[in-house]
Amino acid sequence: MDKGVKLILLSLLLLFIALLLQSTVFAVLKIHNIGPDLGLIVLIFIATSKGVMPGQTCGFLLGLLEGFASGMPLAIGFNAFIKTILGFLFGLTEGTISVSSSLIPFFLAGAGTIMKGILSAIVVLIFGIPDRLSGDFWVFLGNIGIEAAYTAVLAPFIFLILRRIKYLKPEKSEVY
Amino acid sequence: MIKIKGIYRRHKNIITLVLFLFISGLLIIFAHTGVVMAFNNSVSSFFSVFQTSFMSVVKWSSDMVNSVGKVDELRKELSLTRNELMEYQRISRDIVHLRKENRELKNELKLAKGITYSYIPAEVVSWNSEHLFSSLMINKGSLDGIKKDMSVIAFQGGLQGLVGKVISVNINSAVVLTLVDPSSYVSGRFQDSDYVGLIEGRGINSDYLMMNGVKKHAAQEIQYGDIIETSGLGGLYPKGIAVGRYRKMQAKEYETTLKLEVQPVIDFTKLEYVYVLQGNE
Repeated sequence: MDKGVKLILLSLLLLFIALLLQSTVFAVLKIHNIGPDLGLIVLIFIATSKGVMPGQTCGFLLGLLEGFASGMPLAIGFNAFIKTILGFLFGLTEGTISVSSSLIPFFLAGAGTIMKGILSAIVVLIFGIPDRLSGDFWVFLGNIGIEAAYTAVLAPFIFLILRRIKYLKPEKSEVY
Repeated sequence: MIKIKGIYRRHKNIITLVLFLFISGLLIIFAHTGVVMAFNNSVSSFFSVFQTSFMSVVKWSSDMVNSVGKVDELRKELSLTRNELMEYQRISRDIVHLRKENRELKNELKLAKGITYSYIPAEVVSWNSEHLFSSLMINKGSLDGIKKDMSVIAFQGGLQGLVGKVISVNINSAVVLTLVDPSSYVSGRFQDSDYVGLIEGRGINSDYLMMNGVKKHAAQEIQYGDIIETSGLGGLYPKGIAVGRYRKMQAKEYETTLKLEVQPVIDFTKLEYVYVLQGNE
């Protein structure tokens, strides 16, 4: 089997597990009704380790999976759109950021969550989906902040696990 | 064709990105069409199977962890519930007792209306433990108008019967010497035949009183069960209060008077409420 296909299949499996944990275990461990985005952490790891194509492909697949997991048809395209962009953007950092560091995943996950929030608002405006951004702006901002912090705290631990997976290890030339 | 392949190879990342975004956009626009919804339903059903199974494992683990703390919580709850249950049982017992008391008091009240003397109702609070039933204490005293030598009666079995007399008075209580005490003497008279005699107590070990000095020829008239009441002679007790029932004769040939066993009307073992007579109305 082609290496790229193996990577995509493995990424799909990891994303599936991350979503499963996110919607079960971490659904119980929410803070102010906000849970972490484990799928995003996995996406950031894959994108920063493997580059743009794997990153945006995994982003697209992650978005689709999140949509199916939520059971809302609108969420399929919505999440796929946002996560594809994020996968592309983080894929551009391939070779410039070391995933072996402990602090880097923290900042990457925090930044990724905030970017996700901003992109959500832009997509809502572009496609004119009125009820997705209903409510107080400051509450929306606060929720993004909580999600960013929660995701950022978990990122170093998840990166530690993902670094152990053979197919996800960056090529020697990619390590700085 | 080769040119297109070349363009794709050089810009494959951007082309793929645009393609993905285009598909995502279409999925947003056509989100509520039948095809997308049907596909969404089937895939999310598949996903939910895993979510349900995983969640049950998570819940089990969570319950296991929480059960440790829950045990302590349940222990405290059990202790509180037990205390509450004991309290309710006590209340239930009190209710049964109060109902009984209420019934008895109603009965007493009905019977008390038949008393022709003014009286002070009282409750028996204790018995003399050395000479059981020889004397008893009531819960009324000098503050309630109780005085020494006042007669004490009670109601049992529909009859108004003599209990004894007050021998000492405190502020809030009084001691009553009962009929059965060996130092107790009552002048009695047969209700139907008017034969008189002196009734004396025989102590706690006897279940009858002894009526002495009854004329011998009374033997032909008196019958088992005849009521003997106070005669009023001597002024110790008012007239007409039932003392007991004639039970048995103890007569010897050479004696000039009869000795009669008298069953007291009042069962002192069941005495709870008494009436202290103040005198004629």
